[in-house]
Amino acid sequence: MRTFYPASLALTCLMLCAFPAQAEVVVIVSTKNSTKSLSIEQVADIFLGKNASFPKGTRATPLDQNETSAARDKFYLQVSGKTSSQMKAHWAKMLFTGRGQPPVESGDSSEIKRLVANNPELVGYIDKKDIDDSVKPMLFLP
Amino acid sequence: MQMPNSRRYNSIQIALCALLCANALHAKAAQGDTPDLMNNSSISIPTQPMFALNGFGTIEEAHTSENYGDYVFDNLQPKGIGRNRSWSGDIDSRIGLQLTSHLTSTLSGVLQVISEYRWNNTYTPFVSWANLQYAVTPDFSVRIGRIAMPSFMASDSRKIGFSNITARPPVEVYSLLALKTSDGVDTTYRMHFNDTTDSTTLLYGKSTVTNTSGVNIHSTDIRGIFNSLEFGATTLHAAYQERNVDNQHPALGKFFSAGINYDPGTWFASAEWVKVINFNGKGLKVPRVAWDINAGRRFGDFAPYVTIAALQPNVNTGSTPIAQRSYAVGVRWDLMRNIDVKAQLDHVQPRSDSYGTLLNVKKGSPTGSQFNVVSVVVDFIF
Repeated sequence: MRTFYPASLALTCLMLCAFPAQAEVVVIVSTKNSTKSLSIEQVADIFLGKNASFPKGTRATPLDQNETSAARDKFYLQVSGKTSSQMKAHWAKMLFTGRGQPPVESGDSSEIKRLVANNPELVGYIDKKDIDDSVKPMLFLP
Repeated sequence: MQMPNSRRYNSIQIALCALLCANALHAKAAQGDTPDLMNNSSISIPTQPMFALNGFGTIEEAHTSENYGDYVFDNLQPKGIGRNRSWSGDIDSRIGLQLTSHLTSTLSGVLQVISEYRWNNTYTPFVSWANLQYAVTPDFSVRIGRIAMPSFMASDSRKIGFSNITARPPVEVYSLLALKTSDGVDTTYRMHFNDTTDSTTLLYGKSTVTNTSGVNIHSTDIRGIFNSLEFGATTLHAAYQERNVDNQHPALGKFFSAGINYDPGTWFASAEWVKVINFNGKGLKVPRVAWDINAGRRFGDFAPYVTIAALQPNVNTGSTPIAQRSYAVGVRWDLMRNIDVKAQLDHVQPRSDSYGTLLNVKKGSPTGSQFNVVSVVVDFIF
């Protein structure tokens, strides 16, 4: 155990350094979607497979960025407190108990923005710098 | 009887072989799906592939210095570690493959096959899940087929080692119910109030469990109600089920459980209480109670934890009681995105008049002898 400890500290440092502090993430929906805002808990429920609807009851389908995206790790850490390996464990539990599958991996910020803009059912998260009029911001994550 | 070592390594080789084959298949399936995914996304929305093949597994080595009985997960395992072997991977090693299909946006199917150490001393694969699910609404669904019952807080996911913190769920609690699946129907209804989600499942079905003597025990008219309430990082779980069972007089078995899990990210804790009521051959009502508490903290990729668990009978049946307490410390290390390694030390204390959960106890062995179990497991998903 004692020999593991420095390794764990080193890994923690590496992990922290891997997230640039300035990269803000924004949760977005289509401008055709009538949802006014989403709380952090509502976003977490949709992306963790606990809820499949927007607050008004229409179907909500979350989209994930690719596994290598820094925005993805930051997004999940912010909304659910879970690291990428904890998210992996969460979806293993959901998948192998027949309760659901993880959001479909659908590319980077610009690809997610393009998909979300065209469909009121979708909800995604992108880098703040990529946001424009084609999509509606729901929640800013610092 | 001493088991030849070759059998153990064979099972691991088979597991690795299956893992490689499944990975190859998976890669192929993923390639085949990509064009569809791209097409769909440019028209409307990215959809889940129609068929997905995934798998999970655990490779274990466990050891105990005790040698008068067998430490097992539950009494459906014919041999364990201790009297028969001092080292073995049979307690928790397994491999599972799951085919998930999205037939339409509302109709899906799950087929899961598991190979693990079974009542007849083999790893013969069996079907653990096979059901079709129809989502009437996003929050109301019906399943028909073989369903794993959520009797315990982690019972439907306990075989997915990768999804759990500890090397294995506490045997004092999780060995109390041999019945794990039900062939029948269930409905699940989810309600959302603000940030709270409540999910209620009603189940009806039947099941057959084969014990280590090869006897089939039939449970019929299994009826259960399972509730889980989630708010933020907290989950409350409660379950009640009863069934008709053909090896008891009267033919009735009852099960209650209540649990709480709190996992905000860094610290985590859970507790569970279970009561089981059965009737023995003489018609005597035999209630048993068990509980466990687990807590730990994550340090980057390492998650050390402690667990305390206890099992006690509430009535004297005249035969040796099964009463035990255990203390465990362990650590989970997330080695890669889909592989973890766990090391766990259990200190087991059978009550002074009991052999605890040990099986195959040598005649004349002293009751109440304490012992330790060391386990190292590797869990993976693919």
